[in-house]
Amino acid sequence: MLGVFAINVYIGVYDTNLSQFSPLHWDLNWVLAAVDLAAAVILLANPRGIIWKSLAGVVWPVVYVANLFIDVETRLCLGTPASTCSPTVSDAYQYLILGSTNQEWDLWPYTIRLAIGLAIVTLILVALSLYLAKKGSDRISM
Amino acid sequence: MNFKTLAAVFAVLAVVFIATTGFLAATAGSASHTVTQTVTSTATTTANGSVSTSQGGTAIGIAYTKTLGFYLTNGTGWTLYLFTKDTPNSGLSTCYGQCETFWSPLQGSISSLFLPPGLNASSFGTITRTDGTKQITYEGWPLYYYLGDKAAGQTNGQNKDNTWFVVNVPSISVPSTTTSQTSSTSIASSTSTTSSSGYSPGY
Repeated sequence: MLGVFAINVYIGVYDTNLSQFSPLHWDLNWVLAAVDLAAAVILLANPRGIIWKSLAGVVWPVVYVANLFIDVETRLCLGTPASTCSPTVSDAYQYLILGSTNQEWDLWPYTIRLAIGLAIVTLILVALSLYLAKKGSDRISM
Repeated sequence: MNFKTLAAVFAVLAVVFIATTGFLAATAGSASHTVTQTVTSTATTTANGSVSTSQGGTAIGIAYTKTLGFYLTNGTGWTLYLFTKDTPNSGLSTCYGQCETFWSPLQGSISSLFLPPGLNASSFGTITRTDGTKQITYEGWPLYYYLGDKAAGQTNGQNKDNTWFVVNVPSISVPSTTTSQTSSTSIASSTSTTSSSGYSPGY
């Protein structure tokens, strides 16, 4: 999640399209970065209870990735002026997820794909960790 | 920092996130309204790619700055740009999709183009975009407005992504001030489509 946090900071600092044409999404990006950081700190603290670990390592990555695809489905329209909406969902996908420079994505093309990948890796590792912990505690209780 | 503190931090951030999301949803309508007004006023000069004239044509102007030299604008001074990923005289634009939302094509008819003194009508032409609309070209380069320009005279798109540049034109006169603009005064009745002469983008 620290990697995802770094990516959100990178987007916030260098994505001129976001800051210029979609200030609300730009603000939301910083909120995402803050929650990424909090989730990373929680996971590094390795709490004993599964609630916070689940929230930080399972729920949050799912929410994060879902948020990106909701942006695509809504053609980047949520909270923005109609003039900056992508013409089609496909255009929005090429722009946001694939980082197509032909669609005017002006950051590293793999930025969002890397963020999604890191979130999914976190999700898998935490889910596996929770599963193994539960299996271990079941054995002890037996 | 103990776990309870961390949990509290996370809870606060989660509340902030939810509140912000709710705020976004609640303000989306008003935000759109505010910006729509801006866009509407811009659209009269940009979305149609022209300045309304009594003859219903498209007006072209020329602006000048010390750093950029002479460059093309529309009739009310909104800067026009070229895209170096386009190929001049190819008759095609490569800017579609999300690109087109940031860089709107200068649309219009070549037969009703209003040009200022100093510009040659044969330098202008049109291409047909995939939606069937006509986009005006200069020296074969399709012309665009930039969404980031919020007022006439701005050149915020210059050198954007190293692919967007103002469209320099040959010097026509030495202006008396640092920044000046020549409005369209003459009518060109050109029927040419594209020019075959070479062109150096303004960078």
